[in-house]
Amino acid sequence: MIQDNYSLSDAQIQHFEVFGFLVRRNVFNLEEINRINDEFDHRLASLKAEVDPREDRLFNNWPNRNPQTPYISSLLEDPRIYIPSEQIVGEDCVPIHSNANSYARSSAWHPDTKEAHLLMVKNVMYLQPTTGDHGALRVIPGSHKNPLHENLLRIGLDCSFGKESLYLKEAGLRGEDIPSYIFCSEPGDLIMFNQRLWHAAFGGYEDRRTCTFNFYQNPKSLGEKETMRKQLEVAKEGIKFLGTIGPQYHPWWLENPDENSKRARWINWLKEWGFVEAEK
Amino acid sequence: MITEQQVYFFKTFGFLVLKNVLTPAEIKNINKEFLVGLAKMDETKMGTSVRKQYNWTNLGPDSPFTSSLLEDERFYGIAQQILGDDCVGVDSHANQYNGNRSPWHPDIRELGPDQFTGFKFTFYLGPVDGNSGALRVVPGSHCPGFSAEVEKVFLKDNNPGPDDDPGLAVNEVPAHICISEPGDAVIFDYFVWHSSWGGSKDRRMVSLQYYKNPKTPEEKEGMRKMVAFRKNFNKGFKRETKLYPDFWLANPNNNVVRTQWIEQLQKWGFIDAVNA
Repeated sequence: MIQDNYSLSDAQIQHFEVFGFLVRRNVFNLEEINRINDEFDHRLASLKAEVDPREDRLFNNWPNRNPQTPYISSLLEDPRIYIPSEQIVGEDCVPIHSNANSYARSSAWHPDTKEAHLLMVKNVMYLQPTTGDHGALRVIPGSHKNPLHENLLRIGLDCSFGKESLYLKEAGLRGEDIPSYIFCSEPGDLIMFNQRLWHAAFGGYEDRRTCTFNFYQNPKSLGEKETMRKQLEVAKEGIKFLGTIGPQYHPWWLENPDENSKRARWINWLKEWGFVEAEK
Repeated sequence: MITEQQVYFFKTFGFLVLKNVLTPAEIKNINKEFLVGLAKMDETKMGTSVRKQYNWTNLGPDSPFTSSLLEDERFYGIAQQILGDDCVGVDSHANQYNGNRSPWHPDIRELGPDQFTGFKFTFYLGPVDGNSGALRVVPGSHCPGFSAEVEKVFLKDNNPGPDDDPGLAVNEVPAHICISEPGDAVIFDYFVWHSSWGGSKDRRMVSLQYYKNPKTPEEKEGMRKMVAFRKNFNKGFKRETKLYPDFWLANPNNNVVRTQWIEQLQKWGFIDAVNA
């Protein structure tokens, strides 16, 4: 059954705060998932035609706010995505990234950020069924907070940016041996997680698909603002490292032809903070 | 002995699974002794919680082999690695569960990790997985901040929320499942949140428990509180025998390690308190 109430309950918000993530089942129906996969197929095919096949790419990924993927692009403004995100991150939060990802392998253990001063949340939608040995996202509950977050850094679990985990190597362990919650999912399910949360996926396969929607807190304090300025640099480096193809804020999306007020606020914010300019 | 990386694992996540610690012959022996203890149980001794648990000490004359495991280098050696050379083996129990779950809890809430350090080995005498009673743990929940957060989560069994949203069932709490075969052991910190789900009748588990020898004023005060806590805690179990039977205290083989432990337990006031 598809949820018709998009708001999270107090218990769901508490779950997110305590464990750093929340699973939401059956948020999108099969028809919608098929539509997303169709757009994904077309965009992936056109990108493959554009990029040099000899290029050593970590994985294929591209921003969704693109005229070739209008339905996926619109999901940021879908209440099923933005209402829970605003509940968790704040009503004035902003979608910094909206990406499609086609992985060819597993993802080793890492947090997306180590920053503690700014709340950043990622919504992830898997477009194929996942299980523990078939690409499911794994998370270490509670690892968005210290001391667990930093203890995992200290022991050397981090595999960010393709690094090898010193801890796993010395311990003779596989990534799968690290204790975690495994998000076995069906298309239509969503997981939202704090980007400080340690996560991984094993049993990767060719064209393992996700769509991700990242909302960042609107910074208020000096520390939060400083962290947001750093994110501007992080975003630029991320594009280089991940080989993201195409602009995050396509002129087509920035035109906002329907004058969506929420999008207008986001665009103003993104311009004020230099995220739009940084892509030029 | 465990590796340095296994020690890191235990300290980071609050638990550690050890594979094939006991041989099939030893498991057979433990089961044989288990049945002797179980034969002395009847419904009047069954715990009233959903666990439907029988619990008895392994330190009596009916289970000499199981009792000896507390002093066995495979367990005591690891305890010394984690808790220090002068740590103390304080307890060994047999448990038979007949309920389909054990609700989420840490073993100790009354003290903080600056006051008390200890852990238990558990080994299941039959194979267990996520739907047949395997131990579930919230990794890292032995740390005070995280533990306090978990404490707030509404749980259907033992911390229910409002009627329209009573909270999470045991299997809905995000957790790691310690799948185990006979011979495997799980070490877990007393402060880590744990549970089990899907157990059926006659799920058998043996535990060995070790405490750090208190050194700091906080730890010494913690041990005093622990003695009081254990005195009351033990009243919750319908045991016929003393926690420290005369057989174990007599130390018939003059085991040097046990002699030291008994001295230490007496110094803490533990034996008098829990045997009362």
